[in-house]
Amino acid sequence: MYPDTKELVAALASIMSVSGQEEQGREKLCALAGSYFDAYLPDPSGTHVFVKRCGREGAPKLLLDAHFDEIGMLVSDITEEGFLRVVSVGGLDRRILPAAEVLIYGKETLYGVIAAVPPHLQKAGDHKTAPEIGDLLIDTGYDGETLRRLVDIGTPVGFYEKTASLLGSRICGRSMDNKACCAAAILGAAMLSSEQMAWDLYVTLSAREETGLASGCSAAAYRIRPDAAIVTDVTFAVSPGVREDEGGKMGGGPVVSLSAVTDRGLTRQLLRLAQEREIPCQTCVDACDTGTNATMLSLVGEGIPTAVVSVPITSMHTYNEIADTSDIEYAARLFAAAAEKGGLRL
Amino acid sequence: MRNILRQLIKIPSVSGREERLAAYIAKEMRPYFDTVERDALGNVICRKTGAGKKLLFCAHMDEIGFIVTFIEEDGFLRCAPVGGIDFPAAAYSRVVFESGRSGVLIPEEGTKPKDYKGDAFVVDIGAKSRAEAARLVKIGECFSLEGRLFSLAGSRICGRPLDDKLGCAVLMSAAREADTFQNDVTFVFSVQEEVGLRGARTAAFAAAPDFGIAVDVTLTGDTKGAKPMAVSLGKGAAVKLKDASVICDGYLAKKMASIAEKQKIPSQKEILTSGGSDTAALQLAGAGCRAGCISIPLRYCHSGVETADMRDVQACRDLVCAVAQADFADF
Repeated sequence: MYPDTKELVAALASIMSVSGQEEQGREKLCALAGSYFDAYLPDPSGTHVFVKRCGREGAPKLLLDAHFDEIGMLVSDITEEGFLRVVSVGGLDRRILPAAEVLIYGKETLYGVIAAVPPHLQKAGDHKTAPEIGDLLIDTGYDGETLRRLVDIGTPVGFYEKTASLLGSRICGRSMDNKACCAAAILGAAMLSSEQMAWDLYVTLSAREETGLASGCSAAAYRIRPDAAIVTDVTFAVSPGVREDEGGKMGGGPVVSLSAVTDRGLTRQLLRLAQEREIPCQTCVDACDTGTNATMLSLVGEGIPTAVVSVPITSMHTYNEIADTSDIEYAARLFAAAAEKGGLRL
Repeated sequence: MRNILRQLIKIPSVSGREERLAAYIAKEMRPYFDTVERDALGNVICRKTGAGKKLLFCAHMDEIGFIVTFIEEDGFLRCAPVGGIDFPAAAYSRVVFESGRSGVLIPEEGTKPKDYKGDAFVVDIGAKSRAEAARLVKIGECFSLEGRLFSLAGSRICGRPLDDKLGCAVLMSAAREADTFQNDVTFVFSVQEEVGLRGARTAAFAAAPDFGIAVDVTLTGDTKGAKPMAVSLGKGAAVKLKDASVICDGYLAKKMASIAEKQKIPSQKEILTSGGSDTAALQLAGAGCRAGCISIPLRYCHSGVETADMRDVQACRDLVCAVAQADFADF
């Protein structure tokens, strides 16, 4: 049987995985997902590789990639007064940081709040600009001496974890980017039994996507050498400020990317599969760059035909990203269909 | 050569949508090579095994264009550029879709030319409603400025896309001399150059050549208001030393220049300060190789009136053949 989507997403989101720290979550992740796969392969890039085999010798390899890392911060200084300075890891939205609740993953996990200057004391014009990351201080309530015992330079800092249910099938919290898609990949594998499968499925929950193009995904793919790949990542959901032509509809199913840098044949097959299996599905256009691991993954080795299937979320790169579990489940069904007999063809 | 070019221009090949052109080129190249294959990304890879060094020549099949992103209620299309579109140069032009359908690319009324960019443009295909437009054109479909070719004075030709169908034509013409090649020669017709030098990288990884040589167009310094640049139309094949993406291998550049001199093939040296080429991808793919580029001088690059001199094109073809025949024992 496969897991409850909301619980799976919440459990994944609770695993700290600030870019560069992905391996720390291995035990928790394996406890959550390991039973749906045949093997776990550690990778020097920090990428978690799970394999589910169809049982046939020489079967083609399908790589399903969801980056496992999340945006966050690293402690860069501990002040005499007992405040923490940080640098950002990945593209934080500076506008939403003052007064944000954070967790500091030191010797103990500490709760902290990013200090905010009261509006009464702000200087004229302060409200018009977002503070620089380097100017922010985290208040933990501890004095400098205690803090230095528990926290070191380089300690990761993440947003406070509190995945909440909204009405209907929506959930809200930190790191829906990209734990929503990690959940979809795991769920897709859970839906498959080896007798149904035509491909060996390699799920890479990859490291360091948020910090640039040298992603752990490509390194892992170089070892795996898959015959085809699907990258699943979040995309913008149509919402106030995001036009219909800029994103996908929440609840409308996974969003399949049409792009100059993805494989059109593979993309067409996925759209056809969705139609045949009556899985709701939408398309978006990413002209020259998908903004995902697919852009570089497709160039690994002699080249890998790659498609992108996204889950729409709102408020991306904040601590309250909203996803719809129905989109996650539809995406999972599409991934399962892809790896099945009668699914994707080489 | 002009006939080869005319055929290539007829087949649209916006980056990512090179299949039709690839199928045509693969068919045409089969008689001249031991093997002609397509790789995972869609590159056409033609190999003639030989005793000498392993040489890879690469011209990109893809052209810049547009992709349909959205259909408005009233039947106008929204689009995004694929590759480096010069919007002021593209305004009020006929465009042609993959299906062969025509449209016109129009800036929104009142947009000043300095604000010409993707968001400010629509395509009018003559449709009167979203429903009608959606029957005729699909979201994700690509289109480009109309392909065409005509003659100017003397040996000058004009049209689009000469970037880099000229390079493809050079290799296709040189392929007819494949019997004379002394080295182990691979011709790659690459995909997705205009969106990040992508196809050349996987092709070079697979071939692992000793020398990788791109065959692409370059800008010139001989147009009105041009940035100073020591490349002119009509002065021969340009041996690239550097562009914004790459510093070419010193040995290979000297070797190609000396081959041109010995064979009396007109040539010039090229340093391009903006723009990149597949050369960079060839250089760093896999364990890397010694990379260079034979460039075809081109005026008005990425416009609808790209202009070249057939004598330069011929010189590039002759230089490709001469390099493929050359003895690299001095290396």
